[in-house]
Parts: sequence; C-alpha cells; structure tokens
Amino acid sequence: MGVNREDIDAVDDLLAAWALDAVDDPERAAVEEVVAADPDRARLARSLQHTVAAMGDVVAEAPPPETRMNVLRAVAARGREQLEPTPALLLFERQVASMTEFLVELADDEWLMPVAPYTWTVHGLIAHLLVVERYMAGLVGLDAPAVGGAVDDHLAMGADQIAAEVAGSFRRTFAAWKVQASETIAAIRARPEALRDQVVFHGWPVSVETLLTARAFEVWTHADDIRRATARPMQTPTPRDLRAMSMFSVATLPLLVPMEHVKGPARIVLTGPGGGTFDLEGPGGERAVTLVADVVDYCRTAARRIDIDELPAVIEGDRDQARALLIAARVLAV
Amino acid sequence: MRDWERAVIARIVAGDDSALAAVFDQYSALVHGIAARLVGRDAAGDVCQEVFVQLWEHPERFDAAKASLRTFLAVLARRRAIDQLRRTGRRATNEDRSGRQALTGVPNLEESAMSMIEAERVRAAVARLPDDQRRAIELAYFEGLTFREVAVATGAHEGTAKSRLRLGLNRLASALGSEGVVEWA
Repeated sequence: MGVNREDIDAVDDLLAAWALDAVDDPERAAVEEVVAADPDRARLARSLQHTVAAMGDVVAEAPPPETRMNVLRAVAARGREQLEPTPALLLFERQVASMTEFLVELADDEWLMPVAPYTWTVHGLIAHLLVVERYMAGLVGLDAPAVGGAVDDHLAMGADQIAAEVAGSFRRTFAAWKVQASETIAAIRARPEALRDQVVFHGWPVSVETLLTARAFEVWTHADDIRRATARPMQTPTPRDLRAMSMFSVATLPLLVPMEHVKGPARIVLTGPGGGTFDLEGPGGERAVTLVADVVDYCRTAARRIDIDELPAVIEGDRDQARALLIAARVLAV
Repeated sequence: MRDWERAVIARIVAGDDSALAAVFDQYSALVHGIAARLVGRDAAGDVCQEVFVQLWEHPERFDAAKASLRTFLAVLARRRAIDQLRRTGRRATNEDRSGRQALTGVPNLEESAMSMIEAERVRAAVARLPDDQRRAIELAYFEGLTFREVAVATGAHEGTAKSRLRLGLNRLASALGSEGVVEWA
C-alpha cells in the first residue's frame, strides 16, 4: 500500500500492526519516521511495544545449554574495541595546558587559599609542582636546578625551594612552572626515543613514558584540588585521557597488591567513557573477584581523592581482594 | 530493575562479557521462546545467538529511557525471527509449538516467578478480548503474519484486519497498563 508520510492517520492505523511486526519493511520505516518526530506517538508506540514484549513471557522457553556457550564464544571472539589511550607526552602536555588555562583565571587572593589535603596554598602547591618538574627534568637529562631534600619523598622534597617560592611572587612561580614543564615536553618531543628511557623516580624504576602518564595524573588531580579549593567545578578529562590514566593505574596493580590478598584472578570493570575491562592474573583458574566502578571515580580513588569506603563500586566475589586492589591503586598517590 | 539494566549495559559497553552472560541468563528464555514460536526450535538458537551478539556489538542502541531491556530484547528477537521467517519461509512446526502454552493456557512452571505472574496476566487479558481481535493478534504474534496475511487467513478486508489488531492491542495495552505489567502512554 505504501504510506503517505504526511498522512498521520495512516500511521496511527498501522501502529499496532507495526508493534506486532505485521507490516512490511517500507511501512515499518514510514511508521518509525513519523514516530521519531512525534513524542506523543512515540510514547504510544512504546506502550504497544511493551505490550507485545510482555506477551513474550507466555512463550518463554529456555534455549538449549549450548546456546549460552555459543553466545559467549562469539562474544569472546569479537572482543571489545577499546578507545585508544592518549599518548603519554600528549597526555602530560594537555594536563599542563588545562592547568595553565585554569590558573590564569584565578584572582590574586585565590592564590592564597589553602588546598586540601595539603597544608599548602594554591601558590605553595604550584611551587611543589615546580619542584617536581625540576626533578623530572633532571631525570630526563635536562639542565634544571637541583632539587634539595629527600628526593625519595614526593611531598618533602625541595621544601626549602618551595618555601622560597612562596615567599616571592605567585606569578613568578607560575611562570617558572610553565617554563619548566614546557622545556621537558619540548625535549622529549625532540627526542621521542627518550620515552623508552628508564629512570628512577622516587626510587621506582619506570620508563619516561610511564612517568609522563603518572605526572599527567598528578597534574589533573592537583588542578581539581585547586578547583575545589576555589569553589570551581571539577573537570573530567577526555575519555582518551581517562583511558590512558586508568590503564596506567591498573597496570601497576599486580606489582603493588600484596600476594597474600590475591586469592585468584581478578577483573576490574571501569564503566563510562574511557573505561574498559581489565583481567588480572592470579592463582587458580576461577576468577576470585570482579570490581566494577565508574572510571572517573576509580581514578579519583586511586588519587586518594575519594575514600575507598566511599567509592560507589560493585564487588562480586572476594571483598578482601577487592579492597587490597584499591589500596594498591593508591600506593603511588600522595 | 532499570538500575540493574543501566549498570549491566554500562559493563557491557566496558567490555565485560560476564555482564552479557548475566543478561543472557535473565532473558534468554524470553528471546528463545519468542524465536522458537516463529521459526522453530532448530532455528531459534541462531536467532537467540544473533540477538545477544548484537547487544554485545551495539549496546548503545539500548536506551533505558525508552524501553526496558526486556522489551528491547523481545522486540529484537521478534524482528530477527520474523526477518528470517519471511526470508526463508520456514515457520515453526506444530511439533515446535507442542508443549508450549496457548495465550490463554496454563503458565509454564519453568518461568521465573515474575514472568509467571506477568504471563498469567497477559493470558487473562488476551482471553478477555473479542474473538476476532484475539485471533488477529494470535496470527500476527505467533505466526508472524503481516496484517495483509491476517486478512487473508481470516477472510476479512485488510482494513478490518488492521482495525482488529489496533483495537485488540490497544485494549491489551490498556489492561496490562492498569495492572502495571506494561507502561501505558
């Protein structure tokens, strides 16, 4: 028959037949076009579809057991295409840029606001970042001012330099931090093979690539610390940035979780844009625990900005192992 | 239930195949039953597999604001089965349909408790339909006939067949909506 798309009455007449799939393909398309443009008809159409779906309960019949296996095999063969993580250097550069854009908006008095969970003000926290930037610059072979104090202690190192910066102008500290970060970025961009170089950061042997990801994580976290301190909304990184940071965090877990808490293989499912599913090895064949959390929440928990007990997570299986994994995820954060 | 559905879809999007297994365990009887009634038990397994693999490949097509996951999968199962039926012309045999309940029969004890209650309500609501409307809906639902084929099968005009489907399904939707089985617009 063919439906005149302008003729709403004809579509109304066909709606029940459409819900029952008792129309041909052109009619189906015509109905769906009208329904898509009309919220009232869309509600009616949904009600009719719910009704037809409810009729399915009458005929429900379990499939043969092999169907389940076939479905799971087919799914395993297809896998899930995951988002490409942002490359480490670009990730670090973007977090530095994001922090920079945000800091230039701050009023002078906001630089003096205290930033939890530290005793520093905004100025002091940027001075800390400047010290860390100098430390990293030295590790990648740049000629940067030496960092004093205990360099294995992330918060304590360079205490004198931080104090000296805080005694001066925040504008100068901010500018010095930007310059130092930019020099590191430029140096690595000029020599990409440096990403594979191994360095020792606070006693941990890591590649420069891994270090950049960890530092990006740190800069994002501190930017949010300052946003919180200055009553600004926190910022969620792009999905690809989140993917890079969460992959980095999960990759460290097998190294950091105490073996006595590992009862078996574990799965971490991070939901939301930039998330993914990660399987961690463990003794035995059967998965001991699955931990499900939003990827942003997981990253903030790993950064110690959400308490483990406050993380909205689903834990299926061994809760002790799940807790140990979350504790391990926080080892690198201070 | 909607919270569970949103959570399980988020996990499927993240690539967690155990979440898909959970959805399969919850809804495979519904999907398989719908397909088996239309294309027969032998072909129903393939339809069932296609439906769940499609959910895995395109979980974003499920919109929790528009439909429950049960409705989404039931619609998908019917579409797939009917497409196959119209493509191959192979329908379920009487043997495929034996042992299964008519729309007005006794509930299948293997169904989950909630499905059993809902199935019973559906049967009761269908039983209250006028004969001509019930027959039209059964032909469309169980046999996968188009409204034109329903018209031929019942010796009615196409317009009459369409009207019977419309009146019958609206009446069912209203009855099941008032009992909370389906959402009524």
